[in-house]
Amino acid sequence: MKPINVLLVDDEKELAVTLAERLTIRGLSVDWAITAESALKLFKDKKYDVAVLDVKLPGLSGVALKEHMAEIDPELKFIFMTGHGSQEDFEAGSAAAGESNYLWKPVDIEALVEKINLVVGNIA
Amino acid sequence: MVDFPQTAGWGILRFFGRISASISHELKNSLSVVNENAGLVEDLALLTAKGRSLDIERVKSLSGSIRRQVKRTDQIIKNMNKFAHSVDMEIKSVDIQEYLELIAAVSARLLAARNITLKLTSPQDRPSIMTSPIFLLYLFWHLIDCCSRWAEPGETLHVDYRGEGGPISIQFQGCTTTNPDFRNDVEGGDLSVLLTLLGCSLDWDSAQPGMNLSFQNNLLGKG
Repeated sequence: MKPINVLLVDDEKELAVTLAERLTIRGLSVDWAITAESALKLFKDKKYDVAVLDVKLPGLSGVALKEHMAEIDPELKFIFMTGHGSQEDFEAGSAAAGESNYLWKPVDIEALVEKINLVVGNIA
Repeated sequence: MVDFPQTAGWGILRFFGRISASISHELKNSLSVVNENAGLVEDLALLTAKGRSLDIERVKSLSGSIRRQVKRTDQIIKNMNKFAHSVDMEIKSVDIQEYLELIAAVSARLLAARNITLKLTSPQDRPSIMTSPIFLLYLFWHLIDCCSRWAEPGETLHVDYRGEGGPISIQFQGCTTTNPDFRNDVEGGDLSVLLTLLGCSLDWDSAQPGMNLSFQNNLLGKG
């Protein structure tokens, strides 16, 4: 079975590297980026199944990045993560990804894997 | 007693709220990194139990990362504690550099969200003034917030002060707007209240461009 291609974007480099490694151990194919701009560069060269985005990124936000990516690839699925607890962020993130595709940090890895499988249709 | 108008109360509460939220975000990020590092150590242990050889260097690197995050979290909490205690005394002797460093640290995340970097100079002399610590921090935040909104993303703001042999003045430089109506653009409209209260004046420096904050009131004295 073809591995799910995941693009992970979080401005905390150590978090992005480690989370990517943990997802890889669980059989996913993961690339990571720490800015929206570097994520878009990766995105132009490769087809991804799902993007896991931090809501708050420096410069272009995760929600704005989602809009750019969705324009280029309307089939791409999204999951948002955030450490922020404000109502404003929750509304922005859940409106962009759907409330059920919005995870709070620290993220539970098994919940994230389950969510990834769910959004790409690997789980009924 | 410092007489701060009730009408400006929401401004300072918003300031406290924004900074507290920013600090909580920083703490969440740091905990998230620790969470993933600990989780990866567990993953590697499980893989080793299944027969895969253990990458000792990777484990050492994860342990180092956890230590770095603990150190980072400790510093965030120290800053949060100092910020919280800024309301303990209405007036006290304040080391200007220390308070500039504090406001830079606790607002770093808010500025990073706008892709703005803040740099402070480290002068050799460190003058202190008698003033209200929380209102001084609030004023510094007002000015840094304004400059960051007037700067282009990716820009660096510079803050430095002069006090040798004369009145203390602080320069906030790096705005890209050349002629802003800066007094009206300050969030909340508390600027004139703060300036009066702290005995300061504010001038636009079109050469840099940026703002010069000067301390004049006899409430203040170099200590």
